[in-house]
Amino acid sequence: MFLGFLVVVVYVYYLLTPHYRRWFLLLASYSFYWAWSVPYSILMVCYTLLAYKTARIIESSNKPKNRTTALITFLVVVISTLFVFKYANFFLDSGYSLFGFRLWPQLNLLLPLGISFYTFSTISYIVDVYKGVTKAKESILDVGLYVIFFPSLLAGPIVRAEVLMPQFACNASVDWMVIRSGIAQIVWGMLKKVYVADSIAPIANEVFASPENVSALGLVLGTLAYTVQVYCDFSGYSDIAIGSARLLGIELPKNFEKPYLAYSITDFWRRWHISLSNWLRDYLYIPLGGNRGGNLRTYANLMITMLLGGLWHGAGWNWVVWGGLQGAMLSIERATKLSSKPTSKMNYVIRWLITLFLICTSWIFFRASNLDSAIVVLQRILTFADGRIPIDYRPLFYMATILLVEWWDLKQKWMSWTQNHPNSLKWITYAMAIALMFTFAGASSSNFLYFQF
Amino acid sequence: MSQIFNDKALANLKTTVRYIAVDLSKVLLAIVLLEALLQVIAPEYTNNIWDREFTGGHPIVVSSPGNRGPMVPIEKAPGELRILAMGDSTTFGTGIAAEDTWPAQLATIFQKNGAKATYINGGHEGYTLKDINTVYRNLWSQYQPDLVVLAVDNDLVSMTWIRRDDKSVTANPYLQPIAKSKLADLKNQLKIFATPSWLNINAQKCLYFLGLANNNLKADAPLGAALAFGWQQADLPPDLAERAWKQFETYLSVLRDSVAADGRSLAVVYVPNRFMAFDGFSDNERQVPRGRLTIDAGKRLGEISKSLGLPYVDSTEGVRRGRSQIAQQESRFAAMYIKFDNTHLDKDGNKAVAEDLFGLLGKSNQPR
Repeated sequence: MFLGFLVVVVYVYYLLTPHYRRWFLLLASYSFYWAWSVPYSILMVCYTLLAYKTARIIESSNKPKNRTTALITFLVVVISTLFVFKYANFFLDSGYSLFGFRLWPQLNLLLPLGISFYTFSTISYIVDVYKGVTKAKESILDVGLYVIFFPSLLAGPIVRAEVLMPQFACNASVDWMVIRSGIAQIVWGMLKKVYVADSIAPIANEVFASPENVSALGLVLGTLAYTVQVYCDFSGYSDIAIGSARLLGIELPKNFEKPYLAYSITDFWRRWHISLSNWLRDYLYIPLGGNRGGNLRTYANLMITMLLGGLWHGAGWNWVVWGGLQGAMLSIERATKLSSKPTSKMNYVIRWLITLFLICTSWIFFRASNLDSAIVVLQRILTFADGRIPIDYRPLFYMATILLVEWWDLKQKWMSWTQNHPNSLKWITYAMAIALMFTFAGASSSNFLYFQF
Repeated sequence: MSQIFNDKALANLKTTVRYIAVDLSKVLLAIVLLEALLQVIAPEYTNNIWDREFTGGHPIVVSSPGNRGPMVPIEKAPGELRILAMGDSTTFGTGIAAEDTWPAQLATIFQKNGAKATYINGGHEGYTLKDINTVYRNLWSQYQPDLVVLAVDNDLVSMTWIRRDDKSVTANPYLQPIAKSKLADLKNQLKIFATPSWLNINAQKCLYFLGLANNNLKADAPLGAALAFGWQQADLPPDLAERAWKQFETYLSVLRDSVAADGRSLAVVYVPNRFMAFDGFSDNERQVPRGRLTIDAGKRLGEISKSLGLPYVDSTEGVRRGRSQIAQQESRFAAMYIKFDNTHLDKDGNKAVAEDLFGLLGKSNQPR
């Protein structure tokens, strides 16, 4: 469905003049969202109006007080909205288990698709306008497109306004080199999502659905399966998003850079979900003081940033613990100078293995349905518990394949090859489209994991 | 008003239409060539094996009472040995002609041995043992069969559970009325092309091979043939398979009592899945991991039949023997199952079942 939609959008887009392309892109983006929900698109209209008006007030006002008031009002409104939709029940339940009463009734609201992403995007726009990094846009169309641009709407990358908005001039002419590159990246992303992430998902799903029945080895392999799944699923989505935008002549920033080859947790966060890491650094860690207030203050800032980063991923204590673990590991690395580059190949290999081990372990908290379940998984692994389910060793194969593909940089080789073999790319794309049609006709297609955030 | 389309739009449109037309022609040509090739080398693809109007190229003839094959009068002829075969699609004969089903072949073996044997194929796709009990009491009982044979495959055990009464389970298409719509007609027409069937079947195989489809049971509606084998799955209650077998045993005892009340005898035959009878890679296209299976369904059925005092034969060995005998005597490879199917026996497989059953029933039912 999405591929059909994309083909039509790209084709019509290039038939239009730049002025109408912008309107068409807005219509296409809203249509994309309407396929999921029409009422919730009103929320995006509100975000657009609010962001547009706030930016104009901040820019036009000469009084710092007014500018600050506008910024704070905006932040309060959007963060409250996010809180209501995403965290209200979490805090309500946590309060109930602590104090035995509820401050407000249970809200059973459907989480608007992509809310965490477009909230962060609009915050970055307003803060950048406030700091004078970017100008407030005169056209509400630019702001509207920035909020709802369909390739990056659901799960990022979170793009800064100064990068994305100028590209909404939409004056790119058809460039086959760029279009080929976009198609190649979409095909690569689809391969990762459908044939790796979805293939390995049943193993992780079964193991984490009922960990008390699975042996320690089964749980280790299930965790490894999730390690593969979460990477291929999310980076596959990012490839599709970046490729789709590129077809329209719009370049989105890279979101992943071989994260499982990282030699430290600090290095991992430079390579994993890069746009979120940058956002957290620029709009949370640095405003908190960054590393400017001494070691203890830096560790505290790291902890706060990663705890909130964990909470951003989901409303649950397991996410908080996951974020806390990341913050603690980053702080320890900073204190022990382990975040610096390795000095030799042997040093790199040892640190890479330790980092991979730590990342895999932390995924247990990320994947488990709740904190208790994550603790059960860890307990059973540490006590070498027995289980009644036979072991499935496929995650080892998938993990090894991913590491080799990253090591050899096959993605870059594939992208270069397609530039030199346009005809082959065309037929590979057709074959892929047909294969996907039959694959999805038989398999229960799963959504992208990061859509839930 | 400003210009909507750019200056090159019309030219681009024409170029695109031309390119699409050329590429589409190439794709269509490839499909036509593939269709022709399949029609010649694999005619079985020309009918989708799951199509309800054809099976392997043989139109289904169902008599008015509901049995597959010729209509049988209620009154028996003098000296007639009437065999009533009951079961699901493995008895009905999905994928094969009516005369190749095991009930027909069993009657033929009896005839060759001098008995005036006739048969009623009362099997039906998707029947559960509960359905079989009902249809026996309300319909086939009055046909006064001398022998009542129940063929059990793994579906019968799992389906006994809940199946049709459970709203969370997708409706069994074989038990639903045929859709009468232009779209359904079009889909049916498309199905008779070899190419879609070939693509569908092979896509299914690929899905299992790649791990995109697996044999896991739904935790909320635990159905599936794998249940009969004591399938282990983390999120399923460990005693699930045993409960399914217990339920099956209860229904089987009801059928035994119904048949006995009519003064007739009931025999049971086990029809194995292909991956349980053979070890080859191509015999396990659904990639069922054997390490997850804890029950030998043929053996379990034997134990239940023995406890209920029913004559029983497990045709797993018979099907294996059939393949090796054909290889020795006719120098050909016999799949024993219809192509790309895990469950349904072909003509050779049905013959093996019929021979096993004759071995079980023949002596006590010789012509008097």
